[in-house]
Amino acid sequence: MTGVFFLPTQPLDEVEQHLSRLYDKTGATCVLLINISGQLLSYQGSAEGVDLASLAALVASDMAAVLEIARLVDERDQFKLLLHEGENHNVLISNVGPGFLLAVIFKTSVPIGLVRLFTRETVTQLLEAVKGFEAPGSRVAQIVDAEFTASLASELERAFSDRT
Amino acid sequence: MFINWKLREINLKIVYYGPALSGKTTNLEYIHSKLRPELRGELISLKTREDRTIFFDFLQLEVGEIKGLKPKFNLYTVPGQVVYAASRKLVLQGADGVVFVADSQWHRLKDNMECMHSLDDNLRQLGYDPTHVPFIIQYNKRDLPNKAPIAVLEARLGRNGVPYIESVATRGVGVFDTLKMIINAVVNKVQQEIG
Repeated sequence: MTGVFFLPTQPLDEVEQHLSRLYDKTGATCVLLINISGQLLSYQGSAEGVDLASLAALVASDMAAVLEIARLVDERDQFKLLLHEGENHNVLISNVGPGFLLAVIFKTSVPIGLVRLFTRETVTQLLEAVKGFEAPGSRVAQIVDAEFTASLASELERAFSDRT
Repeated sequence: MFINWKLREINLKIVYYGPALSGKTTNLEYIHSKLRPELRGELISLKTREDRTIFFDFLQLEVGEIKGLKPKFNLYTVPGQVVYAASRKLVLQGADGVVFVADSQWHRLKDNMECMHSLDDNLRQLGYDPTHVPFIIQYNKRDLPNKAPIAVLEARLGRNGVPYIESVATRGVGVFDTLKMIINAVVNKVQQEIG
């Protein structure tokens, strides 16, 4: 367990550019890149008043449940795309390889076909960009050191004090 | 653990696992109710009409910056009811640490043990070695008259060297201590792995 992933700035800049292009081309409300354990990595768009952490957790769980359905019905190729159609907003969720998910939230006035087309294009670009993610190396050791542990303990103490 | 250098964040995923009605959701509800709003997000609960967890509960909390990075903790519960067993594995995916919330009452001993087995099975299916997962056992409901002694619970559920804590989650006793313990266990494990 405890896989450690270090996300350096450069591939995240690339991710941001791809998300930004998708956001512009589709007129989406918000686009997000999430990992499969439900953590938000990057987003573009209007997020005012939206709890993005909760949104990321729900998107990842949504896709996890669908992949489990695929396994149960013996869908070997798995389901790669999820679409939720609402009254005002639609949500399209797509796999980005085995480890990441792209979610696009867009108004119902935007054609779904257009969003699907540009999402597919963006997934291909993101697959390249995320290759730079999984290399923890020595920088993580420098970050998560004894000083970090001690500071974290006192921050937890401060946050939780007088709460019990 | 995810370190996002651009957003200056460290993300940890902690999963509260345990049998039905052992107090997993109560742990998160207590944390949510007591933490200052600026330190926590919404408490998301995917529940049935009978108010039972069908998929998971989710709560994100954060503490002050450390070395220029903001630690964020993503807390999840799994559904305890056996009928929702399929959902538990999904929630465990990518977890950095697990809190097993046991119901201390005598008549729940078997449920606790079966649930512990299901946890090990699910971890193995996800490719993890259950003995290497940062892990804390929380013996909950220590205020009830029909509680089993800790020695009995430890003999049936305990693992070599795995810390445990006694709690009364409805009153918040042991809730924050449990969280601190599992966070420390995860950080120590990361240090071992990369050190």
